[in-house]
Amino acid sequence: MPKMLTVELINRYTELTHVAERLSKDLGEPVIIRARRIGREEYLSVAPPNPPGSSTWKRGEFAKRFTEWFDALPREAREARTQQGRDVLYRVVAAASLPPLVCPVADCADRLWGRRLRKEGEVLEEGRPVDSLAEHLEVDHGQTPDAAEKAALRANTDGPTPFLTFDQARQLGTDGEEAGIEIMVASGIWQRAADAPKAADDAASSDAPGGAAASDAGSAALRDAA
Amino acid sequence: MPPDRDGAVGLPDFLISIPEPASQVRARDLPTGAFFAGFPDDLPLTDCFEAAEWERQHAIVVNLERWVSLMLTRAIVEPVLTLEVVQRLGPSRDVLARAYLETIGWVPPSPDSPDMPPVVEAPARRKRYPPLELTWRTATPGKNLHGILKQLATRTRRLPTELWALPISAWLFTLKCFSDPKDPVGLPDDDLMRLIGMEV
Repeated sequence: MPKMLTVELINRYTELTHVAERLSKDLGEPVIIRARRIGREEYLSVAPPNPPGSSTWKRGEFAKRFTEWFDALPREAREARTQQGRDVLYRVVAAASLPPLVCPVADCADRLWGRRLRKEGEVLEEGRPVDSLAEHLEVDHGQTPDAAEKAALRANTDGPTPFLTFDQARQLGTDGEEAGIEIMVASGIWQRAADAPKAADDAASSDAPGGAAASDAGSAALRDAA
Repeated sequence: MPPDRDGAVGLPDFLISIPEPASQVRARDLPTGAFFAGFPDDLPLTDCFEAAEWERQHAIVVNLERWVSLMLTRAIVEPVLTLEVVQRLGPSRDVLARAYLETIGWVPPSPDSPDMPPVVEAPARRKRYPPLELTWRTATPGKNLHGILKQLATRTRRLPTELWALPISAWLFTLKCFSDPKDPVGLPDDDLMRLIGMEV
């Protein structure tokens, strides 16, 4: 019989971290975006509406019809929609971002880096124990342990930081977009990585599959009954 | 028909399994008013939805999604869930919502979801329920839901307040007992969602 769910279990299970690779490279030390899954309504509340009449479109034809609709828009509307689509990812990051953990370094290693390697449906800590932060960095990220431990210690000493604002998330640039995609996939809003935008530059047209998936699946339990 | 306080009219607490993280939650048969608190008047797949502007359609979907999450914060008693925690559940939220709605009788068991774990009665030990906001007792429901409640009160000759305090499973059962597709003002039991979403 499954165990009873606890809030601690949910929080642990639904946290994710994204290594901001470009920013880490620029700064010479690891920069980690810590986030949680988001709910569908959180996504929908920041996503632009799907095109008129799209609620009747079949899932398989959504991308084609969206493209037709998008191409028929005036140039200004297309640009606005493109920007909206790009901003969605930053808004998702802002909504989902969590402050750095305040915990002993070893625990940070487990929680910050261990979950990064979590396989689908499996928590890493339950499969292969995380021995040390250094092991992970050396094996999986090629980072020096000193830099990462400094980052973890800084999270300790500086205390919790505020959640990211939209403007701050936008300043993350492509790191923010990648984090947004990772959050969307982890949240089940995009079912597979292939559903995510193929490129952030193509945000307007590629945000359609995500929007379609969300709308199609939205209120699934209730709408199945209607 | 006194409001149920001991599970005699409504369902006992029940356990719902979710796939990830693999675990169970304990749910209660909410009072009808608490179940419907914040229920939007406009719903997807209704005539008014189809006639609405696309931005409005989007807002309708968002409102319904939000109601589902908020309803779960009231229905799940162990663990006590905040809205953020429900949102973190991702796809498991839908499993939870579907199982809850099936158990209370809102929707029939879906043949499309054979993998849905069975809902079972919870062990009988009493749990102290997290408190509900009192506004559900006094807030007037939306226009469409108000119409259904008024119609049901007329047919059962009960005060709307009595019906509003019924466990939601008992309320739905009563509603279905009075449904009659041949009656022009009947309540079709296979389409409650559509019925409540329509102007009456």
